[in-house]
Amino acid sequence: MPVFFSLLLLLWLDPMLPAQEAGPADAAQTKILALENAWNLAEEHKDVSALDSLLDPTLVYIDYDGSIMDKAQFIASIKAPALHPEQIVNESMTAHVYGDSAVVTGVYREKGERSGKPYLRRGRFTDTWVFVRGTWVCVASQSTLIAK
Amino acid sequence: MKGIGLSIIFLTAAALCAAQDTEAATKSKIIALEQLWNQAYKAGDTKALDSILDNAIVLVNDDGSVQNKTEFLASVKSSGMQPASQEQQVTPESLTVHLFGTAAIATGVMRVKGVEGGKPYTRRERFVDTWVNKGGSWVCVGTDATPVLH
Repeated sequence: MPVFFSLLLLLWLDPMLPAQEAGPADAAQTKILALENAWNLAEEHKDVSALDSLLDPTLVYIDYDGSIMDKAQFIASIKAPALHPEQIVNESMTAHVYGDSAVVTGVYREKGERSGKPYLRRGRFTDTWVFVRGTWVCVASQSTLIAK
Repeated sequence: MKGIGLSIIFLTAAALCAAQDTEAATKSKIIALEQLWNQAYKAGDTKALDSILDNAIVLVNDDGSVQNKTEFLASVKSSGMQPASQEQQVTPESLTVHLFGTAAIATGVMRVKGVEGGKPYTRRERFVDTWVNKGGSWVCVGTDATPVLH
């Protein structure tokens, strides 16, 4: 199945997954971790439409170099023709759910090419999600490089 | 009918004003808690820190290392206010709070002065703290700091 359609399917199914079956917190955890993986795929494939549905309009994004972006700036940075992310994977992830909000922390590894130069980064991330209008959206995301 | 319409407008306006007041009060509360955190950290007041940090908090430090609440409080206790501690002074430069019902994020920049390997350093760090309202009290459930490189 093309990646674009699998992302769409994942995002479409997300709010429909019954929260009652495994307990609301467990179900929310599963959903949010799936959304984290969908985010990585969306970035890899520059799928702006999928990213748009994952991110709240008020998103605060702190990049690994300490720069800050809003949602429009972040999506524009992903769309940049000079950026070619090859692989973004989460080595580990933990979600803590607090009712209508959740915090995910983990370690990611990203490799790709920017302006013809290869890059490889490994960092820790913290994402804050909130449940609004019947779906989970990310309101804050931050990454910090792991010192060697 | 006109009277009913006007009443509805007044009631809606009153409700909106009340909501804005509540939101402003909550944002002020979060800002006060952030200030309390800084003061408690500087003073090595682990009791105060304990009261504002959730038991499940995850703290990501500026070098990408991670701590839980117990580890963080132990590090504050052990460093005390000794000059040998890794971070001697934390000064907030800016702070913005966004509210989402029972959750809030506080984001800003802080200036950190310290000594590392015998050498003094000053660096700016951007942070995001996530707060949730638990049983009427706001507690921090996640914090991340990233050095500002440019």
